[in-house]
Amino acid sequence: MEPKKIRGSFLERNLHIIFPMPAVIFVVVMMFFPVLYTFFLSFTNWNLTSGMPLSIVMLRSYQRILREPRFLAALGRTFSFTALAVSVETILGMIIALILNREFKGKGLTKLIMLLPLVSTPVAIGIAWNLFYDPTIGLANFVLTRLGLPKQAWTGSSSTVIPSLALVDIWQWTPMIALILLSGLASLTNEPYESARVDGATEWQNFWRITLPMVTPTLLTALILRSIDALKTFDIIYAMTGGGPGYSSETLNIMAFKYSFEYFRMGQASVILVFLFLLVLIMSLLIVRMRKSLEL
Amino acid sequence: MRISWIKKGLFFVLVLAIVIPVLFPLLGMGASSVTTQVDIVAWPPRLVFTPTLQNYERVFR
Repeated sequence: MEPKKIRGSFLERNLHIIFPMPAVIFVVVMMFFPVLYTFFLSFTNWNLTSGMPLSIVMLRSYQRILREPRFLAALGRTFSFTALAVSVETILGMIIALILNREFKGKGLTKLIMLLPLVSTPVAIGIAWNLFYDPTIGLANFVLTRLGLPKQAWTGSSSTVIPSLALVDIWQWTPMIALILLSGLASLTNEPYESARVDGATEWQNFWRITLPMVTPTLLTALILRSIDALKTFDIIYAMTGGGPGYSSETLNIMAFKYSFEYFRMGQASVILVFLFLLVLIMSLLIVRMRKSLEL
Repeated sequence: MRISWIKKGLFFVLVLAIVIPVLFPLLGMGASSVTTQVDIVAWPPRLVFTPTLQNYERVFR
């Protein structure tokens, strides 16, 4: 009887540690370990093709990567792709949310259709859009020629590849921003609008003075989610261009993938990923701080 | 009365302007799955074609 009593009391005394343990183990193993291991690898010169054992070179991998013009170009592309895609998605998402916020027949079906791009497979989306963009047989150039405009190379040219890829991202993710904003709009109370109506405010004034300030926290949440995701975009770009033509659509994520699984330079690939991680972290912190300052 | 119908019509057009671009690539994906290789690479693109299940047959074989 005695040992059972001791065991029972031990469990009871440590329930607050034992119950959260699975979650803690999950976070440590699945989240912290890969990040810390990537940080560790970034200080090494691990190269799978050299046959040499991994050795610590401290900041030498960082120096090599920072001196690479290809890295700086990829960094710029990551920014331009994110800025273009997220800004258009936010504006379009807001417009769509305002339209869908009214009561009309088929609202449920419209919202259901809006969900379709979100659940589509990136590779399938890539194939469909590649067919659409094809310079010789694509529907995009067919429409342009019908309108009397010159044909475009779309993803085949270094000058148009980033906007073309951003358009695919916009198509896929604008509905998500619209649906998030729609939920924010649905939670707004009617009183401020009624007061504004009494004061003779126009729809435009209602939007700028009431709707936008009240929906800003939701908008910033959507912005955080999309910015993080857009900075890390890999699937669509890899499926459509593989980073080409040349390196003209190579973002940091694509470059890290090539460095690790094509050139097998794991140390340098980790450096790129550390930069991407810091970039995402800084951007998220900035938006969170912006959100907090707006709430005060 | 007439103005309200015009407003409703314009609103419906706006909703279509949202729905059609969303659906278009997905419909294109579905359509190309039931199109022969010859029809897919045809120029000008054939918007009217005879659907076929041969792509599905090949995938499931």
